Amino acid sequence: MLLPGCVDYAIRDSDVESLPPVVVEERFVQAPLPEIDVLFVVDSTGSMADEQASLAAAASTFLDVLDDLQLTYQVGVTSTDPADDGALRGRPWIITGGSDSGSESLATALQVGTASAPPAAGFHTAALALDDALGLNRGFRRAGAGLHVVFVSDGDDQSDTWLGGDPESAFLAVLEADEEESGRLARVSAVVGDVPDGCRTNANSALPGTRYAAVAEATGGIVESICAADFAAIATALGGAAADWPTRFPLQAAPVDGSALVEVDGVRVESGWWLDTVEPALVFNLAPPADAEISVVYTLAESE
Amino acid sequence: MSTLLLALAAVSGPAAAAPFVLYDLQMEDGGFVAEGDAHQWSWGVVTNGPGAGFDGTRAWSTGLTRDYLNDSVDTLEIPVPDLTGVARPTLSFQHWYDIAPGDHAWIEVDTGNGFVMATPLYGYPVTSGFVGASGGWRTVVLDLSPFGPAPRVRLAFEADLGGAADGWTIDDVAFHDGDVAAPRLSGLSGLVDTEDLEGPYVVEVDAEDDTLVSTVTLWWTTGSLTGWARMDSTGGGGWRGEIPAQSPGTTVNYWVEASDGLNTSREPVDAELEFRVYLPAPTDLLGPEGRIVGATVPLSWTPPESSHEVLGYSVLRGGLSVMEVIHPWAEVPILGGAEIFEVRALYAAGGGDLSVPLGLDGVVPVIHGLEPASAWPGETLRVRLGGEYLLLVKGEVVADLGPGVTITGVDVRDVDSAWLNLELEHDANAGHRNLTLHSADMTITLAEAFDVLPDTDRPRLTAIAPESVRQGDQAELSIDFVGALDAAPQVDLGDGLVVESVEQTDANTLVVRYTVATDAALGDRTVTVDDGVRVFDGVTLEVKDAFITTSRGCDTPASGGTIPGVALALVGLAGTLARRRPQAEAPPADSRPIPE
Repeated sequence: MLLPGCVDYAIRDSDVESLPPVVVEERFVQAPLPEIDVLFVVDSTGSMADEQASLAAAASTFLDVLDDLQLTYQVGVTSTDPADDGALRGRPWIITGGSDSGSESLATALQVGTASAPPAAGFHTAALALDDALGLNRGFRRAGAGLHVVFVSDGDDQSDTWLGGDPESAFLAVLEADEEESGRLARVSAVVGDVPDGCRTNANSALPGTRYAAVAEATGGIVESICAADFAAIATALGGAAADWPTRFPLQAAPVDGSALVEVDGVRVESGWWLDTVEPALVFNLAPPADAEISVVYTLAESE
Repeated sequence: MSTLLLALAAVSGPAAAAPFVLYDLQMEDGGFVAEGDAHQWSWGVVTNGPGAGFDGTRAWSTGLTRDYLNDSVDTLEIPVPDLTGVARPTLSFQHWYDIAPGDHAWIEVDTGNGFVMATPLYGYPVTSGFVGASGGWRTVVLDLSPFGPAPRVRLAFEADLGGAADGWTIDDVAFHDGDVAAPRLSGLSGLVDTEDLEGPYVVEVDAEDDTLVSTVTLWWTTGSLTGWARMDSTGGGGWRGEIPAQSPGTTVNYWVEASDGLNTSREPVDAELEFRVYLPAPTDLLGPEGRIVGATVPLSWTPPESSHEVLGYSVLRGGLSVMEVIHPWAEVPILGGAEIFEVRALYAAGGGDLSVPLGLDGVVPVIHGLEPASAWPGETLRVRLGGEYLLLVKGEVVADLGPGVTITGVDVRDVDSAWLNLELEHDANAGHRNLTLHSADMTITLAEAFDVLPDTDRPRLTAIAPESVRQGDQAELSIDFVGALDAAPQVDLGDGLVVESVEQTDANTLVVRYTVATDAALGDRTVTVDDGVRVFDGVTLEVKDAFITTSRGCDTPASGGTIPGVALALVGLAGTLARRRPQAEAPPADSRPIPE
């Protein structure tokens, strides 16, 4: 600190036997908005009316979570009906974070109807929806954007006719190809009947979503029960699973614990962070917002 | 008897003979006598067959409430008034019938030698009498002149062993003195839809009467216009009339009326015939399949087959013409949403019929705008593009803002938004610029999307006081500027100077509290003010040598400053630190060196 009329330690003097503590400042810029494309694949067979209504009611919760996470997102919905060829439903069919009526659009799109005859081929229709070459959903999959596919069904996948005898592996291969193309993680979550016994609500029952759950677990996604009463909680979990946001900012050297002053976008932040002195880093409890300028001034541990 | 009316009134001029006895059968049964095997003639409210009488709820019928019975012959005798002195006695009644095959109905008259079949005017449908269905209420007229002053009249109905129907219902039975029979019309020619615009359209009909057909009139309507023409006799009961030429697209309704001077008939009795004068429509109107995104939609159709020359086509959207083209295809503007398209061929004589409509449901890409939407010449800035259904894809978007503005990069954020990096040439002319965006085979434009502002209005810094500072100083300076700030500004005084606070003291002055590093490099720095939208400059600040270069052991307590309680060795502060993004693996190569 510089004091008026008193300039301390302005001259480096190798003759001085005891150097004062060395204070350094490091600056970071939080990553820009992470990009995520979320594809809902909703079972469109006759038993799904209640579940679709519950899902639609939780649409705003889901988008609120994405908004709170400051993700640059695109959300689309397709059905499990092979006749749909994976075309995204609704208007607009790609819902973005900038849309004023995103919740309403998503709620409408999630109600894909219940007129489809079996088979409910979720993996197959998801693969079609993600296939840029088909041109149906142009712009939905973005280079550099992560992918989160959410299957919602009271049955299990029945894509054998299109994906062969091992639809799980076939769909995992689709995700791997997507990861290679986008350079980002492709993840699956499943809102399905409990494995292995299925589940039952007052009005409906659900078969175990064995295949969907297996792929979700294989990709690090979450598995929720479609018989759960609280779809808002599911939406919150799904939205959270879509985020991958930096909270840790590595420092060049170990700081003296308690010595740091932290500013985010020029505003002093007194709490909500801590210094990792072992693996030197500034660690926030909650990620700073996108593009935030982060400044940390700290005393070097070696200089004490 | 309330149903008996005496025709006492004198008749002035030609008029149909009024009844001197009328049984309207609403309040009483008229004293008709029902006999026969099943006694199935009955009087009352009609719920079967016609569902009502001719002019009320009641009538006589063989099946008032149900189909008639089989294997029966039944009669209904009508009381005949004394016909003495009646010059031309005539019986008339209204009847409705639906008679099953094998069954029949007829009229009988007894002049003292027993009942025998009598033939009404214009005869029976078949020799055995009335069979099949009447097709509505019809009038029957029987001339009683040949039967003397006191004939007996009855209606006979015979049902065989199998099959039954609604039966025979009669109402409004009347006796007249005179001619009550209107001419009978038949064989009215039905005109078909025609491309003939010259006309006339010839109508023929046969007319007969028990006396003489005096006139036959052809009537027509075209919308609200009604016309008529006398028909000419062609001999042998035939008559011929003409409807004049009509415009294409005209629907003509027509009918014929015939009169014997007293009574008038019409054909069709309670309907009209119809034909259209038209020019044919294009066929096979087709549009794109699947999802439609664009400001226009391609439509094509098959030209009509016609003897008339097609000059072009009019394309209609929502019933309104939106364009005219020569070829059987067009790029038609759409509004978005569900819309109906039709095509009409244009002939020398006028527009033809509309094609079968085509429904399409499309969306129109729209650019909402740029933010910010203006800049001064020489500026470099980043503007946000937003819209709907733009289908933006990274690496596949080309944008243009016209002369003097170069778009150096397009950073697609999602399908509907992107950042555009702009460089305005120093000599760019002030004025509006239109934005043209090429995306997904679409070209989307937004007029006056961006303004190059007049250089004379450019916000800039005009003065700084003092114009120089010294190493180690901690004080205030003021900066004057012209223009308006969009937000709280950030002031950059250059390397080695820390801005501790900024206060806007009036509309065009900032007061900046600053600290100069003791080792800040000497010389001029460009001062900038960043209001979050753009960076102002225009003044410089000089750093001079400190008056005092050393002062050890100063024990002034820490107070104020940016980092209270921490001793600071300022070695090239913020200005020398480059920003970096957190990287989990990469070393922080661009952070400031740690002092040795």
